[in-house]
Amino acid sequence: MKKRSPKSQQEPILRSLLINKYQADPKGFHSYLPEVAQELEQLLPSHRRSSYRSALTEQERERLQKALPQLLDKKELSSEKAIQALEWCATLIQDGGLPAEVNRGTLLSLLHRVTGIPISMIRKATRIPVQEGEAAKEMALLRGVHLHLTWNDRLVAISVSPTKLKERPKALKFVGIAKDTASDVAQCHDAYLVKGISNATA
Amino acid sequence: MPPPERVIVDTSAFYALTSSTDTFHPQAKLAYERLLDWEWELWATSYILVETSVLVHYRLGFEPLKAFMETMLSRIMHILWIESAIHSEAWRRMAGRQGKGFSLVDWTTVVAAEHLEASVFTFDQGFRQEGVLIFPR
Repeated sequence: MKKRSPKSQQEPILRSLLINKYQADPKGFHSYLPEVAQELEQLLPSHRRSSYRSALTEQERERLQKALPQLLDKKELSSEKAIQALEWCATLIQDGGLPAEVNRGTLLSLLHRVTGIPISMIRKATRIPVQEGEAAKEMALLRGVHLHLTWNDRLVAISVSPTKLKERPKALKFVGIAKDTASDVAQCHDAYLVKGISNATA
Repeated sequence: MPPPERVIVDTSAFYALTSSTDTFHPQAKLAYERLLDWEWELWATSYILVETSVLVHYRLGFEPLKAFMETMLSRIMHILWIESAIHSEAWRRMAGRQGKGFSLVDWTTVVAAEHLEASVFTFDQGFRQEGVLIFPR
């Protein structure tokens, strides 16, 4: 039988459990326990935090996450299909769940297919129209590349900022620059700091 | 365009990004590239910078530290210089737990995340238990 925690520890444990359940699936949690969800929303300063969850249901998310790689697997992607793929990417990014296999190279080739020009060749800030429609929102697909979308994620235009594009390599300059003999330093950094201080004072 | 999401990058994420042999390096790199591409506002606190700098310098040397600091001081990263109100609140919470669990740096990150309405890019699951939204999820 599982040992019960002392009474003094039960409240923070319960609080953590509820927060974890809520953060794992805010919509699902809300449908079962709306009052508790409302209390947690007050507890977590979450106006901004919750905004990177779109209104996709679990089923819609799964369907798109499955359909997108299938679409991208096709050898010759027509311009229309490339637009559709970008629209699906936009929906999934807003939902916070773009599959890992949809990498930068894939997105750049989709943009090339739709605009007819490699993005890296664009030298000044440009807005390229894609389809008729009224743009209701704008979102970053890649740093310096924004999609202009209708309310239901139909792609209307693509804008490119070469200045912003150049920030990316600078931001990645330190990434993977060194090798440590230990592989658990990130997770156990406090212990490694203590060890460093101990060695320095010994 | 809606305001960008904000994220505070903590020491565990910075170190996983810098060291290519860290277990979390591939995951950290993918997450960081996504944050850059989606143009989230990237934040670090002055305490995180000090902590990471000590660790990178001590374990990896000066050249990696130089590359790291050059990125930090570029316009890509926003720095929250911890002042007395955040420091005092972090200490109050740490003292409330009798020093168990989080370090003072971690507590300043929690308070800063609340202050900025930001999530935290970290591999320390303890932040989730404190009600902070973490990235990668």
